[in-house]
Amino acid sequence: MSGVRSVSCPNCGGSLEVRAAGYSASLGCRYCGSILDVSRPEVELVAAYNREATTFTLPPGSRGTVFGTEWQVVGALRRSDGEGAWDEYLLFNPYVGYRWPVASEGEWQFGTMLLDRPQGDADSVTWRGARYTRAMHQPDATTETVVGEFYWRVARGDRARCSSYERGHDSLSREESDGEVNWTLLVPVRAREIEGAFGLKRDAPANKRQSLYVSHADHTDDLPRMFMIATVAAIVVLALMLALSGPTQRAAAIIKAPFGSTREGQMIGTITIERPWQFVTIHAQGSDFENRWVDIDYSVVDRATGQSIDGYGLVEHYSGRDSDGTWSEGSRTTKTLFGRLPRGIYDIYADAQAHAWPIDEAPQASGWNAPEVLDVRVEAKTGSVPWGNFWTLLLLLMAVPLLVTWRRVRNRE
Amino acid sequence: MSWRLIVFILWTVLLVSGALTASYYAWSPFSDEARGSHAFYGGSTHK
Repeated sequence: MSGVRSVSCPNCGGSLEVRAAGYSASLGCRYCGSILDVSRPEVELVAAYNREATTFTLPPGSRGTVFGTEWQVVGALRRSDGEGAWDEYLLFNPYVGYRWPVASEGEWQFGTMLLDRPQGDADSVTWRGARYTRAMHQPDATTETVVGEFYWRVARGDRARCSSYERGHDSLSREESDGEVNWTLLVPVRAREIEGAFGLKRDAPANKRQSLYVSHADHTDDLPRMFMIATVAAIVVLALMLALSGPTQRAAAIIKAPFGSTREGQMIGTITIERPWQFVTIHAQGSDFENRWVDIDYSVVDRATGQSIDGYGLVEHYSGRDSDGTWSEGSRTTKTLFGRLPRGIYDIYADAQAHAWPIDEAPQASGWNAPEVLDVRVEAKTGSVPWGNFWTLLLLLMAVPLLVTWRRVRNRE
Repeated sequence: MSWRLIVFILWTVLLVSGALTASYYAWSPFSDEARGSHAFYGGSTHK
């Protein structure tokens, strides 16, 4: 392929070959692990190490044809992120350039460095018209072992900030170190294909760990945790809301709603707020009327201060028949929620007036010359749970994981 | 633990605190006690 240059390791004296002479800047001694500068005619020792030779699945110098191109392995790195280690190889072909197979947990990915950078933000990027979504948390990668040659100054202990963006089985890997950002397209390749290309035995596994670029993202996927946290939080809040709402007291009465006038000051009953603050709900249930509505004005009067807290309820029901058939609307029941009621004794009063539709005039009761009066059952109750608060909380809790799910689905379409 | 998860946990803590505080003080944005009386047009809206 390219010119091969023989050098000796200044540290251990081992005989080494520079296979991409003229391209390579660094060489990791396969005998002692020392890092050499091979960019100039005279080899310089950059960092001396004395360790046993590290074996890699693809030893530097081996050749194989992958995706129709013959490659020579010129370098190998073992990197770790604190949770595990994986191997990265540098392949070289003088007519094509470099490629990066990555072996992790027996799975392989084939990496090609991108010359055109993806555009986007921290959550997603677009490359050549395709959107890639950011995978979950990835810790920094540290270079543990260096063997072979590289086109940049490589050293043990090099750290890079890694992030990965996925689209289906493909991913874009972003690495940032020393202010330099590199993007690599990683596509899965069968282990059998790599093993066949480089003449490996089937039982020669790479380092066992979760795949950095595919499975690792799933391993640290925070979406299930988000759903779990949201569910647990909702259950806890519901339980505490129920506990904070009580105790329950009721007062009920049937009030009269005449047509044409308001019957005022109808006593519903007395309730006692025993907690520092409590909700009170007032339910109204109209009788079996049709094409009528009843306005109900509530007054919740604090016996201690005489202060009245007012509210409004409406029961109504209409029906008829038109060219589309029969129709009906309205509800004969209604609920009015009172909040921020401090501890104390309260008298509940209601003013009620009935109306007729479509003509709001007092209908006459048959056989009597008195206006019709509608009965409405009203019940006041302490210890209510503000369900609107709970559903709003649930919506806000689930919004984030649902949004993440939606973005993933959209990006994979 | 990702930053996104940390932010979500903080968001959850904020919501839970707010919900429990609202429950203790019996406050709800959906309560009806401030509604003015007789501010309603009665009758069917059917056309």
